[in-house]
Amino acid sequence: MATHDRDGLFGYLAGNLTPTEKAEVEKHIEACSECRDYLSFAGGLKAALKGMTPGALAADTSCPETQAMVAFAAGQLGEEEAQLVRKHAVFCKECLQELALLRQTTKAAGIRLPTTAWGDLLERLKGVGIDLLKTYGPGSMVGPVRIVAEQPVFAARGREFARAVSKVLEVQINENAYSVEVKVSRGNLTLDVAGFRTPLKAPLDVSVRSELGNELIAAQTDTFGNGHFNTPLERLSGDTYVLTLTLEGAEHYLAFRFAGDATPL
Amino acid sequence: MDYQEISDVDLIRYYCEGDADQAAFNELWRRYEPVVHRFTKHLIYMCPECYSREIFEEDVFSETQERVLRQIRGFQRKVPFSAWLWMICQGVAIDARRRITGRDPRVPRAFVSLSEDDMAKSHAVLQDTLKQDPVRGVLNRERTAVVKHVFGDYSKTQEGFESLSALYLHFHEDQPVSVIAQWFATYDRKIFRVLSHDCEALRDLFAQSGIRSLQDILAE
Repeated sequence: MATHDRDGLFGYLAGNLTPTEKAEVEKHIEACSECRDYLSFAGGLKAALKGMTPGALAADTSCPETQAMVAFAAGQLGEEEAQLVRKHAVFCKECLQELALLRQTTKAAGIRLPTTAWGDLLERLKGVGIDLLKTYGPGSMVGPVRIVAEQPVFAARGREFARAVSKVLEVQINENAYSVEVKVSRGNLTLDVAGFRTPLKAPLDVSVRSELGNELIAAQTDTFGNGHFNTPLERLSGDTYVLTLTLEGAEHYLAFRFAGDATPL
Repeated sequence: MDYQEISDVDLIRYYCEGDADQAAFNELWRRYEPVVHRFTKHLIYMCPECYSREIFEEDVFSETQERVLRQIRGFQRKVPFSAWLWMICQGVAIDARRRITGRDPRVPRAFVSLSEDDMAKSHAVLQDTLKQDPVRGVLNRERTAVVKHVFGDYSKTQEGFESLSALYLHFHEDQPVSVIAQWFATYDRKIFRVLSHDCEALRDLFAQSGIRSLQDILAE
């Protein structure tokens, strides 16, 4: 048995191991107090949940209305309401079974729903959206985001010259500053994210989603907040996109639209 | 007006704005009726075993039509119309299932009324416990509150919720890993990993709250 192999220990607890594997685990736990501790807790948890009296942990709330259950299973419920559903359903077998049925039938029917409450997000964005490549010029500020440059880009890439339209954004939050360059060039959308003046070395998550809610890019950069993302424009199915920057635990949204001179060059 | 030439969005608008244009709704329903039929065929899976599948399918179909008519004004284009229809259908199917199985979701599980015999038994157990060690009874209530709090916090995120539900189904309901994997539409190995790793995460969380074993607490 590998050292501190949790899967092996759990298999031992669940009685899923072959006699040889079982003997190996027993030999290991004799000598390893950490694994004995794990096994003791997991065994206690098993016994506790098994012997749990009805209502001991059940939420003191009634089962959610069907509409809320359906919206929750489809990922269409706001976070606050979703937490209420989770809090109730986690120890309610009937609700868990209904959620399983909702999930299974959606999968079987081949229905693809946006995974987040995308409509709500778009509604919120209407107030703060940046028509990135058209409306806002350098110096504009929306919340903590400042547009610092706007330019057609001519750059040598390998043997070819690439012509592109780009906009550089500077995002400043607390002590940290990041620059984000959004560039449309030769059928590609490129995001260059660079962290500078980042004393807290905060990680930065970047994602781009289209209006339909399909995730195009999602990546976590290194602790310096640097990242480079590239995606072919054919994958962009709508005309409005949202760039999400998650910095220091808070999400910041930028909406942008490709139009007119921003179409692939 | 030739309704066949009009887009779905405009048909919805004609029906919802001003005088309800019934012809617009009829055209919309004509387009989506086969889709709803297809949806209800998938939703037969929700029919309880004790009930006729044909009747279940018919019920879901007719109720869906009524519900669409009632709720279409609330359609906000957050999802495509067909996805919205699917969610309506699913809601109807769950309601039908709840009705057939006699499930009353309005009563919180914690307040499910017990029979007089059960209450007498619980009372006797409580009295015995308090006689033996009254402080223990009080302490256990405190510790149960801590356990509920830790579990509540853990299940706030979708990942925590799914892990804890899987543990509950596996340990309390004796559901095999393969069945849980089906419930969560994933594969066995993933559930197994989640179970083993979450046991460790929970152990650390409970240790921070000063609880080393749950066995005595939840059985009270």
